[in-house]
Amino acid sequence: MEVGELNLVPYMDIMVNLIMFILLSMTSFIQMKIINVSVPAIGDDTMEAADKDDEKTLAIVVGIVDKKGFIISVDGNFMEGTPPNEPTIPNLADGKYDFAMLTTKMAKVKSMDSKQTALTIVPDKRIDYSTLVKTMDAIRRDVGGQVLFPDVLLGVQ
Amino acid sequence: MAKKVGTPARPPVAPVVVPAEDPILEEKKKARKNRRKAHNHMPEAGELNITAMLDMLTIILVFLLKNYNTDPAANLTIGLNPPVSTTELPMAQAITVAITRNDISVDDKRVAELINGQVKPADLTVKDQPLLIGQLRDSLLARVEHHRKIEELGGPRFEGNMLVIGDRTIDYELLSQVLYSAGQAQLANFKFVTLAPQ
Repeated sequence: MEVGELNLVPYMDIMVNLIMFILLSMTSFIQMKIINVSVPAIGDDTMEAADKDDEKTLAIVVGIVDKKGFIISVDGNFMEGTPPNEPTIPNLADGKYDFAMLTTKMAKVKSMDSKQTALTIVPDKRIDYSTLVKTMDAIRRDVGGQVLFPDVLLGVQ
Repeated sequence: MAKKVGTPARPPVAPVVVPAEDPILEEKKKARKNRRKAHNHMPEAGELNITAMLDMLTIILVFLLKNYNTDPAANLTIGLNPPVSTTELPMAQAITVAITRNDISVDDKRVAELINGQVKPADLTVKDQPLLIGQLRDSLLARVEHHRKIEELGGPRFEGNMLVIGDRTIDYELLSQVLYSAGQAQLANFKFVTLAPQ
């Protein structure tokens, strides 16, 4: 009887090796998330149509100026307090972008129309992807976790 | 030994003595054998039943293999380090475009080579469309067509989603060229893949 029994040990060896290999080559341990982004479609008037539907919609644009800071404009006018020819939120002394101030300013913009969730971000050509994502993070929620502007439309200068 | 060899009476004694000890020796040998046998049989009695463990391993293997290919994180390679973000939207499945400083690939297939994070001027040849990367649009169009056919055959609905896995160091210029080219391939909903903060 014992002679006819299958020797499963080699099979188990293969299994263990395969599992180790797959586990090591897998990267599922890295948690990945996504950010939804839209771009204006060419020849599409959806934005204008949306503007007509809801007259109260504000045209909020956040510009990221390379090595200078952020420019915020609402309905084509620079946000209050923007010095002429200077960004609304200048970079910090160490040259880094002031994301905390951006969040504060965007909370003020939000108070103009609490229903609005969309805005346009127009970065400079040389802005790196990481800065863009951090900017989107800064305008998505305020410090208290309240939703500001999660719907981002990317523009090109 | 020398004495024994020298005496004439001894030689016949020796063979007599040996058979006389035989039963005792035999007994000892038997006892030793039995002990050895018992010792050898011991592990057999306590042997592990590995069938259940094998079942478990097979299930784990199937599960891992199933996840292996569909995992978008499998696209992460050297030179592709997505930015960290606080977004909480879960990962989704869609056409994947990976952008490193060296190349752009669509669903793991390299479509355009970059030089230090910039598109080669030869790849931006379409007139009046300075942002269009021709090969990328063509490759994405083929993928869109493929997904549409799957939808026609009863597959999941194709919503024009595209995952963008970009290295954190790439410039917005390159990103806008990729998004513009994807727009030309009828893709409209972009999802930037980011890493959750550790």
